[in-house]
Amino acid sequence: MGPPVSDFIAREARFGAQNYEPLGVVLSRGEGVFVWDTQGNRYLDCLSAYSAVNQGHCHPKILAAMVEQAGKLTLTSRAFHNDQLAPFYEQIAELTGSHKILPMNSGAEAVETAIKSVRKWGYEVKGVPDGQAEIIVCADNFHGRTLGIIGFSTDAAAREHFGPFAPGFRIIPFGNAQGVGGGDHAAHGRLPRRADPGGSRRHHSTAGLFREGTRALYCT
Amino acid sequence: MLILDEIQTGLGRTGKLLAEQHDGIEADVTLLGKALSGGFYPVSAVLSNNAVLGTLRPGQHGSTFGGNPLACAVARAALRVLVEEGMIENAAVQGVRFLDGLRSIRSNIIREVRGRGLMLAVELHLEAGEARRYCEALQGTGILAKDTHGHTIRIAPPLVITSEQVDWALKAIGATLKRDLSSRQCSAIERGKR
Repeated sequence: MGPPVSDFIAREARFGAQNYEPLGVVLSRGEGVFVWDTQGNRYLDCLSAYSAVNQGHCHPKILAAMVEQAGKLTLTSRAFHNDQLAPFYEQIAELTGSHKILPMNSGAEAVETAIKSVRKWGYEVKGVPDGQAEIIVCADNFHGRTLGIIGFSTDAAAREHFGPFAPGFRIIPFGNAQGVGGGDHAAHGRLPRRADPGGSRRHHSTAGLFREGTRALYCT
Repeated sequence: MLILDEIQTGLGRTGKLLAEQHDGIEADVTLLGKALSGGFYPVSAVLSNNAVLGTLRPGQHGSTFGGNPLACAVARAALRVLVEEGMIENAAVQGVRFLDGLRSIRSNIIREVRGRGLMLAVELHLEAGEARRYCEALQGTGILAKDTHGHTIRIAPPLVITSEQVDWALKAIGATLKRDLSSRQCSAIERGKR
């Protein structure tokens, strides 16, 4: 039995920014699908940290890998090579059929990286006039909290008093493929992730694109 | 150019490695994060091809921590157990069981039950009051779930959940959704109990 739950919550409130409104539970341990609070109560975790703990809490094999690597080498920056990056690339490439990978840290950083990369592709490969790239996004999107991302959010709470925002985004209704040009978008300029390194093009139907579960950003 | 943000939907959550597979499509750029580290460390990645990521040259983009050896080792283990321990297949199987179970709950406060794999949601009628009250009541039964968009309860357990655990959760959720928590007083009473 630790200190009362209210003690942790009050101390958090005293020093922490109140940008979340958590349930009144203070967790101190996790294993598999379960988490325990400071009072020893067990809960089935039906959030999984927004799907970050798909593998279950404190998976022993991931823990072992982390502890082992933490005792060897944790950070080199990309100014030097490290012996873990190549096998990481190979494993993701094999699993997902991708040909190039760029590692970041947070999800929002990955989104920002994607936007930068496809804009660059637009200018340098597709021939879009400089400064004219347009990214099409769906209404009611959520891709993160950075300035670039909230600029194309349609959620007032995510945007209010955080502007000004960067231009270059067009918002279309979710579930309406017409907004991206008659639905035959796949016919021009599509370069699927598994395209050959040389860039051979394959046609992919986008008919089912807007079903629940997958969030999309388009770049014309 | 199609970018799919699979940070939350990818890596087995919907019962397939990537949610795009449900629709038979393949993005040009796929974003992964969250479960890429199994919750141990922030690790994300942009997956594409040479045409897109080949445009980036030294000095044009980067991150001090991106691709660090600790992140890489953790991510490799996280991906390995996801595949080797059949978590994606389990998400598909248990997702159907959970969804069917949620749909069989008879309660007049439920507006819609939806989901794919273990990414599930119960949307309540507006008259039922805020979903948060039901999440607080679920906490009292030993389930932690999060309300979203005011009237929706999100249900997304780890992909290692068993049939027995799904059935147990369904009983608790069913009992909770049959209660009338539409007044603020009920919520206060529930909080007072803990």
